[in-house]
Amino acid sequence: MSINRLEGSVIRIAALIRKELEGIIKDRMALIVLILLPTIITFSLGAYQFRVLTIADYAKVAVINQDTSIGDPDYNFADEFFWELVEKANDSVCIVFPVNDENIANFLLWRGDIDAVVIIPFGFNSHLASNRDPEAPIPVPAYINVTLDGTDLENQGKVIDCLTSAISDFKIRFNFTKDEIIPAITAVMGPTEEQGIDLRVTVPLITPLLLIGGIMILTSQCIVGDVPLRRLLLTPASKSEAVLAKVLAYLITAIIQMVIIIGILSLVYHYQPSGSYISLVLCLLCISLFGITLGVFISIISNSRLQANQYFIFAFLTLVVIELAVPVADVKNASPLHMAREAIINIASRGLPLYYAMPPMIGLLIYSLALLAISLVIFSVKRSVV
Amino acid sequence: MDERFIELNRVHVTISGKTILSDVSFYAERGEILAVIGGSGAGKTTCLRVMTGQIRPVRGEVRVAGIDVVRYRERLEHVLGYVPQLDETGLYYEFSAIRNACLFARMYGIPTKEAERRAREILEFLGFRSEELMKKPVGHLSGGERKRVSICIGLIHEPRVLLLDEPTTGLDAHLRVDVLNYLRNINRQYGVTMGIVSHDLETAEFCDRVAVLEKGHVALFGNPREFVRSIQARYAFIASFEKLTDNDISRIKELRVVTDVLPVGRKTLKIFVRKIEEPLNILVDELEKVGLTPLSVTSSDITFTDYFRLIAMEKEEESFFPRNY
Ligand SMILES: Nc1ncnc2c1ncn2[C@@H]1O[C@H](COP(=O)(O)OP(=O)(O)O)[C@@H](O)[C@H]1O
Ligand SMILES: [Mg+2]
Repeated sequence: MSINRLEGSVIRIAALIRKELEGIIKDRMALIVLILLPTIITFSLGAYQFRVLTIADYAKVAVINQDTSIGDPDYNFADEFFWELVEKANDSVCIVFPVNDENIANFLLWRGDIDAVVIIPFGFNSHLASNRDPEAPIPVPAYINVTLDGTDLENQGKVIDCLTSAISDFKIRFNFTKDEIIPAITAVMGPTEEQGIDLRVTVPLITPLLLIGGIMILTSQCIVGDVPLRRLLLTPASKSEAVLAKVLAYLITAIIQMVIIIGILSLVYHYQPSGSYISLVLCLLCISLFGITLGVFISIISNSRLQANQYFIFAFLTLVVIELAVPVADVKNASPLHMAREAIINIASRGLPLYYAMPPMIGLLIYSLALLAISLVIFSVKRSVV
Repeated sequence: MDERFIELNRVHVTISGKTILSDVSFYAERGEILAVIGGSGAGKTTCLRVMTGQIRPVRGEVRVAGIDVVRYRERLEHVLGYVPQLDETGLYYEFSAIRNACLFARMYGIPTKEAERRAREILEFLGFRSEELMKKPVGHLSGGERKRVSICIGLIHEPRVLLLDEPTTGLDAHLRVDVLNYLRNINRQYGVTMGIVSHDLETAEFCDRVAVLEKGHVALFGNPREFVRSIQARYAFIASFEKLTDNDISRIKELRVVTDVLPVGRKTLKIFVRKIEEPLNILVDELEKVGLTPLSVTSSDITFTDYFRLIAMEKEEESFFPRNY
């Protein structure tokens, strides 16, 4: 009996998925959203670089002092510069701390645990000291090596701000007037250096917007707009079967979107995710699932197509605003778009193993399942008559 | 033993505090066709929603095919077919008739091949002759064709009871009769008990029982032929005149053989005649005697519509329905 019931259920869900997909293929608007939108945006992704700066949490800067050279008898310039950085840190929303091992620092940077590594190399002291000699004709610059996390534009800004103000105050304090200190800055994305650096910043930002937004436009209409579904519900088909079929059908369309996005990026712009494609696809699926369930939720609470559209715009703008403009780190970290971006950064830009993208992915899954559960409850008590 | 296949017993429905149905009772026996007739907003659709279990009555019993709908709604799914009022709420317009039918059939676990065979059989029965019509997107079909596709879907799982919400509304006069005839044929062929909702009194002509709803309560319930038999007149004639004044009409009414008169057109009357020998000749004689020679007189049937209009006229000003009924 229960096997029969399960079988009937599977047959119905399969038929409903097929119906949903056929409906999408026959719907011009759906095809535009599913195929044209990702195509156009992905092409423009390659062509433009986005730059978004906000203040959120502190950028973490590890400082390694490798200088043992002899310089001025009264001052140790390397130490003084370190403290100058510490002093400027708070103003620039940075945290500056000393680290001994360069390898550890680079590993932390790669994982995204810190945002910059500043190395004060051997010779900093002696070079600066030589410049204090009034007879010296031209300055011998003292370099500091700065390695930034290239995936994080906001924190790059903070680190550079901290660095420049520290350098200028340091120069004033010790009466340096020329280009005695020069920061050599490199931005890194992950363990290897590859082409398409800008894409590794923009892909994590735009792909979740595209996947979540694109699929939400469609799923936010998928129940409120499916009027004959009410007649289908008079058959043995249940509301949960109908919702499940829709979620699965849209997951299939999400895969098509991913193929388009990744396909264009890699074929046209030679983009290659630093991590594995499988991890990336899993991560994108989690992101899509969130978009789908949020859309389904909207579709269930709406009473008309227009209302669903308005809820969609409201929800999507809220997601974007929280991600781009809310300076409270706790709120931001709980934001689904931020989780999506984190997950893609870790996998595609940093090339970390899937394990490192798990927390945001699980966060997205929890959001999705919660939305799905709430949707089913609301749908089951909502009266739909035909 | 009579078996009631559709039965509402003292059903009371309120929606957000407003009483929509009060004390509604009617029934149809197995294999019968029941007409539920009423003006717009009388509560017809609500009656059907109660029968399909979409709306729970506050009190009262609802049984369809022997199933207590209020308690065991889910048991109804396999025995009940439903054809909603608006086709766009019951059909996927982008799919063809066959595809729609197969989708709905799949919900009952009917294999696609079998569903397609059944759909073709029913559609052919409903007058779909060409393959092209069956394969065209439903959105491209005409209103009458669409309605028949919707009826086909209501029948795809071979239900015992088929409920139809205004199946003839919005169709041309000849199509209305067509659809009702198809329904009658299906009723005979498959033995399906039917409940047909309509705002058109004519529908009752095709039915075994009729319930007339007025503002949420049953104004009249019974067998339409028995209602017709219950009136005094035995014959009806359509007579047209060169000119016709209100005074003329009263004079015709006074005639010995005439029981009732209903205006049909501006210069046309439907004249009801009591049981006599040679009613046509006598009627024409009497009309000539009072100087109202008709241009033409043709024999007609006494219909349920006539009955209804007559009793409405008896109630004079507080008539059930406006003139156009
Ligand atoms: N969901 C609803 N909420 C409030 N009133 C309703 C609702 N559905 C129907 N009604 C009211 O119930 C009455 C009967 O409606 P309905 O059964 O659709 O009439 P009919 O089908 O005979 O035209 C109408 O007055 C209508 O306004
Ligand atoms: Mg109605």
